[in-house]
Amino acid sequence: MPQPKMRFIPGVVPNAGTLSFSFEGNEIPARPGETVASALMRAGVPVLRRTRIENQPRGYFCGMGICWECAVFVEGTGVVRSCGEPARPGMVVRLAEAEV
Amino acid sequence: MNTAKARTAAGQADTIIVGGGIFGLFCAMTLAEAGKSVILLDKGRIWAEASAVNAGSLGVQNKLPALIPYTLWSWDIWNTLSDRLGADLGLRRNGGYKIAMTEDEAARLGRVVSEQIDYGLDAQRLSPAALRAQAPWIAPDCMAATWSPQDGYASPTRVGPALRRKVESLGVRIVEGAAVAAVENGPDIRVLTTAGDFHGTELAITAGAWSATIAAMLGVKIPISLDVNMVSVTEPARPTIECIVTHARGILTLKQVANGSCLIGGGWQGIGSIGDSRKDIDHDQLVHNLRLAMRVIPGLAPLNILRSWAGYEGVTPDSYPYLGRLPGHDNVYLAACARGGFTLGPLMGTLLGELILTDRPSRPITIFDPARFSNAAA
Amino acid sequence: MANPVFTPTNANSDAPVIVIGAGPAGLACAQELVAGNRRVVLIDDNIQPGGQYFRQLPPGYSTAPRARLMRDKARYDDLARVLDSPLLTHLPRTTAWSFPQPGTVAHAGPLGSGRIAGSAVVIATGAQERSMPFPGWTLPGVISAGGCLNLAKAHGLVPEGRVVVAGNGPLVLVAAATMAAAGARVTTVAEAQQSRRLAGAALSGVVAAPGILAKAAQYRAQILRAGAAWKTGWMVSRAHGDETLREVSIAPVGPDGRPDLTRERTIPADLLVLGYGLMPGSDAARLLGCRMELRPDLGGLVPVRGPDLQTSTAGVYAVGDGAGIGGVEVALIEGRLAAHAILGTPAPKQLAHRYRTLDRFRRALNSAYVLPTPLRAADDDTIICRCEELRLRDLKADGNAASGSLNTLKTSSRLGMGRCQGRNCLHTAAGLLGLSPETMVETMPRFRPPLRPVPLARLAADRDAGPAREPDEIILSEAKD
Repeated sequence: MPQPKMRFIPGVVPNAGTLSFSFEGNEIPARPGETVASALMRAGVPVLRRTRIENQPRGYFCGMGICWECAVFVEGTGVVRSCGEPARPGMVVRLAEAEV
Repeated sequence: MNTAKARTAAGQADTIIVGGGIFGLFCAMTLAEAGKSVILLDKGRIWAEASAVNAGSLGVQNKLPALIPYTLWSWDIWNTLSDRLGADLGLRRNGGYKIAMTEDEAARLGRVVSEQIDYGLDAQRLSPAALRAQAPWIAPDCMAATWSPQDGYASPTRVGPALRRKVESLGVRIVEGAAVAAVENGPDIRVLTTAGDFHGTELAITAGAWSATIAAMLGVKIPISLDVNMVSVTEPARPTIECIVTHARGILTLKQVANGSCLIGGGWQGIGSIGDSRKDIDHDQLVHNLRLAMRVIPGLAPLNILRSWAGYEGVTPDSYPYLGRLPGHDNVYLAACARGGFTLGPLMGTLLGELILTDRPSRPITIFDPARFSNAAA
Repeated sequence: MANPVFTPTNANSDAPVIVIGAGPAGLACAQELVAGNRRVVLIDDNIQPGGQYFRQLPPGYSTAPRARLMRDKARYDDLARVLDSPLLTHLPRTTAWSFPQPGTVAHAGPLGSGRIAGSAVVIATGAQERSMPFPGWTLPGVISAGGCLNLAKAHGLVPEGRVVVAGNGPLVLVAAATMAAAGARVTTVAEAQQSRRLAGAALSGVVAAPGILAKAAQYRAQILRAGAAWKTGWMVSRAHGDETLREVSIAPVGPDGRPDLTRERTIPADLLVLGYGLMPGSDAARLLGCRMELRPDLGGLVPVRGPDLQTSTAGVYAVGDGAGIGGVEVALIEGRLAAHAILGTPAPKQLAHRYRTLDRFRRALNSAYVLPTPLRAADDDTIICRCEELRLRDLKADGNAASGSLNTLKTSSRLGMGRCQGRNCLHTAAGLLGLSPETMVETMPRFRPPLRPVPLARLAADRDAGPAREPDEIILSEAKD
């Protein structure tokens, strides 16, 4: 795992529980209520999708549902914005590519 | 400046074409390649209506049996079009499935395909087991299907600009924003538009759903009704559906195009008319269109829909296109309104060009005679 | 509830007012409507209400008293009480995806999909950010100012490394100050506008709204205390890195709006925050067919509104940043004013008075931040359309680039056809290709439903869809059965 790039702001007390999900096969710890993007950024995973044509890395950008750059693929759900998707225990997440 | 160019710049040409969709552009290309001077008029921008906003299917299986040979001839043009235009047209000929979800539909599918095969379609019936093995992404309760290697698709948004470049390079003058206000015939053609007056020896009407309005300016009544077809597109997905999917009752077309997006159509009707210029989604029918798509291909369910839109398509009473002389006018020609005009357009435009050039098009066109409903007309 | 007939305002007060967007404007409007005993359906696509300004941490999170995330907690708590009213139905994580009729909203979300017929519709969908593309701006680690504020406010996160903030406008201040307050290492802040123009804005503002200016001064002091270099008249020129951001280059803004690369400086950075301005999110009004106008003093393309904040479509109101950039104070008041208009009650005099004052101020402020020459750091190799991976070169080379029409260019190039539905790229591409703002507006592609990407299954789940009318069966007619 690369170095963590995001941490909780001092004074922010997240939900005490813990859960984990997988991203590209790696186990990612998360707090209940936390979004997938938040957990991934805390785990030091800045690349949330790769582009279709040039395979370029993309990550969290607008944080408000405009850009969809933080899209990830969740098994059983489809492509979602990771910044607006709460992490669920055991969810299987991959770099965004939709599947029929 | 050569003389032909000077003439078209002055608003004069051998042939004035009204309507810059796929019929008009192929007609222009055919005439210009034979050395005719051509002015192509459009009320707005060219390639902006049915030719541009359709879903891009180049289906053979979804055509009326009598149109199968024409569809295959048109495919002969499509097959070499990328080379001819020097452009990537998003053209694929990966075949297609035509499916039936009920016993009734299965029976109809069987009857129609027999007739289509008589007319030259290459297709085979698939058992449900064979279908599941070949296309596991089609719903397991699909009752029956046929497969034809002859179906395909192209990208309307790529074809238009490439055709435009080609006809312009051949010297065709394209005039956009030229809404026709009046047409005078005798002895020559005079077309009065919002972008000026144009004179020609012949007039070709290739204005799709608007063709009836132009014909009426010459006192000829041509029945054309309007469909407002809806299409939806999904986000790109991993390539899975490598061919087009059509429906025994013609109520679904579906394909996954080069960028991975799935295009969902089938002729479900939106809201609007030429008179009110509306082209709006009918939300009820959109929902039913999507439900049917999901029923046939369950894997579409999680895909995000990015856009739904509606476009006009002119329709004739018998669903055969118009192609021929306008009744009562030796120097006015009409080609318009094929159901599936994107597939048939290259052939129809070419045959119209041949008709104007030689009076002897390379394929029989009598079933398309624009006079076939004109008993009532004066 | 399928296909109800829409009757404009007041005629049918039994039907709820549909408020789209649970930010300051939407919540204030809902609060006033409920106070007037009107039913309200509040549709919002976020997990939690509050919009961007009152972003909430995830449920179950708490903050120690010393954490200064929620400056306006008391105000939010007051507004949020309306959510408990029996007159209000809150639909979170729900997309208002289209308008089958002007007064009817089609919605879809994990809680279900259907339609609601309203006695009025209030669009309170807020602002979006302007893009200023430059080489490297797609790297992970480059984020927008709104994205930066949401890191802190919605996720409770602060970056560990060095932060550079660059942009043009109040967002630069707010983002930098928020990062500094959260404990981030803000090393450099680059504001593109020259300080003397900002001083002009400050002067006009002191008269109109001293409170807002005091807040700005406070932000600035906070940033300088944190030890950040503060540069005015500088812009970001490039971002460097392979998989993620490593360095940022900044340069003085040249007279042509381009970075003066001869004086470029490159600084190490782990996070680059971009705040090149806000513009109204105009898509809902455009989809509804409201008459639109280009108003630089309101931040861009906005629906034309009457004094009652009603759009050209009867019964449809537009409030808050989506109808003109004005910030939280303007949004709160507009929400209340629209509610009074819908209820048919006169707005309190002091509310109307305060609105006039604030409205003047925000126009002056928006105008002050308008640069004489638009900023331009993109080169031919820069990605303009992030979804379809279109570079400026691709757009210039497109067969329809010369058409002068954004819509025509879209159809051939695929500009704006991805998941952002053109929000990130259309305005920017128009500017970079030299289209005048007027031409951009005239040739802007018609907005197609759904308003946001929605999974097919959720659209198909519409419980209020009317009966199917299947297309004509042409093959059958041929089969003669």
